[in-house]
Amino acid sequence: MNAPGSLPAGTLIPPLKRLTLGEKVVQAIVIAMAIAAVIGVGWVLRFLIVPVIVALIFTYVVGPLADMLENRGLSRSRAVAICFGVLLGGLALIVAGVWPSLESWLEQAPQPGERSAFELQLEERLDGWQTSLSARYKQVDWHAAFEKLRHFLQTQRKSLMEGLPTMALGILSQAGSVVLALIIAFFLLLDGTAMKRAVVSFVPNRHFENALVMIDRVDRQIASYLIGTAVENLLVTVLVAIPLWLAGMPNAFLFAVLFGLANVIPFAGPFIGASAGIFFSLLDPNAPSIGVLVAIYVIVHLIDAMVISPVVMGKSLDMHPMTVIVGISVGGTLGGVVGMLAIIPLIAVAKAIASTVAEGIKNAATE
Amino acid sequence: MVETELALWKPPASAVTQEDELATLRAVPLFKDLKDSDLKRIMKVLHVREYAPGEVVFREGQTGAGMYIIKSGSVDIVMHLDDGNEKLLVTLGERQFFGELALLESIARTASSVVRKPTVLLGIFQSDLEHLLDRDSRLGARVVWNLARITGARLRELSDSVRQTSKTTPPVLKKPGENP
Repeated sequence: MNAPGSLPAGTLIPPLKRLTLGEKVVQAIVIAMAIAAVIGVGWVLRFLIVPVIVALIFTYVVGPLADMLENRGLSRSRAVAICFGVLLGGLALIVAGVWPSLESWLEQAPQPGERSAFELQLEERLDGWQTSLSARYKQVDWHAAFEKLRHFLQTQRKSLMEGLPTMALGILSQAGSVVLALIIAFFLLLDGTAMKRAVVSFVPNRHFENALVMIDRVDRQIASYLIGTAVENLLVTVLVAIPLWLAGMPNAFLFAVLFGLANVIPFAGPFIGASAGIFFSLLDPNAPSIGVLVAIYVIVHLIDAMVISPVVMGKSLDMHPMTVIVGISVGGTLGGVVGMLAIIPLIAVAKAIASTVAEGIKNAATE
Repeated sequence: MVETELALWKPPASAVTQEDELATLRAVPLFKDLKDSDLKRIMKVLHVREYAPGEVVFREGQTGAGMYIIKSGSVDIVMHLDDGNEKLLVTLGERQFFGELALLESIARTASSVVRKPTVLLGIFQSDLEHLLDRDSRLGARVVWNLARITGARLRELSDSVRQTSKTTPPVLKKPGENP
């Protein structure tokens, strides 16, 4: 048996080192400088933030599939290559599904100086509403009100048409980010474990276990949220697409995808997603009535809220509804739709970090 | 045909170090009966940590996250006693391991571990083991099976120890009518 050398008599375990005030100040300064350095590097490399986030989302959603393939005896590189094949195939399917709708819109695009079929339909509807309302409520100056509405729509159309080239350029510039995100995702899927080990190797021994626990908790929170959300909204998209198509909704698949995407945003998402289809039905005489659309959206939302969400998401995030509502308000105020989307996983990550730090403090007090 | 992985991101490790770690793993009962290819997969999830003399690996009462294998050096396992003293339970050397219960459950450590000379430990953690089960269930199941056998053996040792203690300690006889 070894005899401990420099320990107090009768003691085998070195006591916890209590920092002096001076050491605490130095420690606080070093931590502040490290945080400032991270923020500085993040600012310089801010163009990478979106590709990295997209890559992480992709890695979390596709990672289990790569694991499953690896479990079947494939090498990691082959499993990842197959995942990328599935991704590209999935994207091709979505484009193939949405493309006919876009193509028909493009075919109907007016020549310079002409008005589109959509605009003519809109004008017809507005005229119809004006006539009907003027006949019922004569005391209201409907002519002036509808003139204002037409002027507003005309202004919106002008700004949209003028902004289209900029929008197209913006979308094209994002294509580079998507390619970069795919490359980052490829490396993360292939060597994510080794990267994590390399990062953890810089953590001092004292905080090593806590750092691993924290990374694991954050990892689980993000994975459960993203996988749950992806599965839930895929099911919701399919559930909306079928009745919309049966009801004869033009571009049913497109509106189902819009509803599914918007549904990612808790609480507000279904309203945003449904409003796109309902607004369209107001303007397109070929669309089903508003009542039918509202019924479809409400029924699918109820199925989502009562069956899909509890089963798929479970209590994965274990978050109070009030936290979600306040979080979405704050996220929406700070970062619009992106903020609303990002705030829930961010709160979950913050919660995981806070609980691990609290546990670390408790552990540090253990003797 | 032997499949090869793309070496896109590999931590800096020499062939000698890798062979060294492989030899360490071969001697650990947790990885008994595993092929070298399996051990190489396990090596990918191991964390190599260097400790200075006097450094505490973990303290009694702290929540455990994983187990450690001693690659080189030695570690004392020390327990706090009810009377306030500390008792050195065992000094572990190269290729021995400790803290394995934390692989099964995140519970409080039952003893502290202190390094007495420059020591290199290989850490394997609960999440790594779970990930291994996800990625290669056959290999993961083998490791978990070995872990169950080791835990069983430790329980038997504990039972024997209790039996021995009860033999040396005279039983306390209760008077009739006395509350237990």
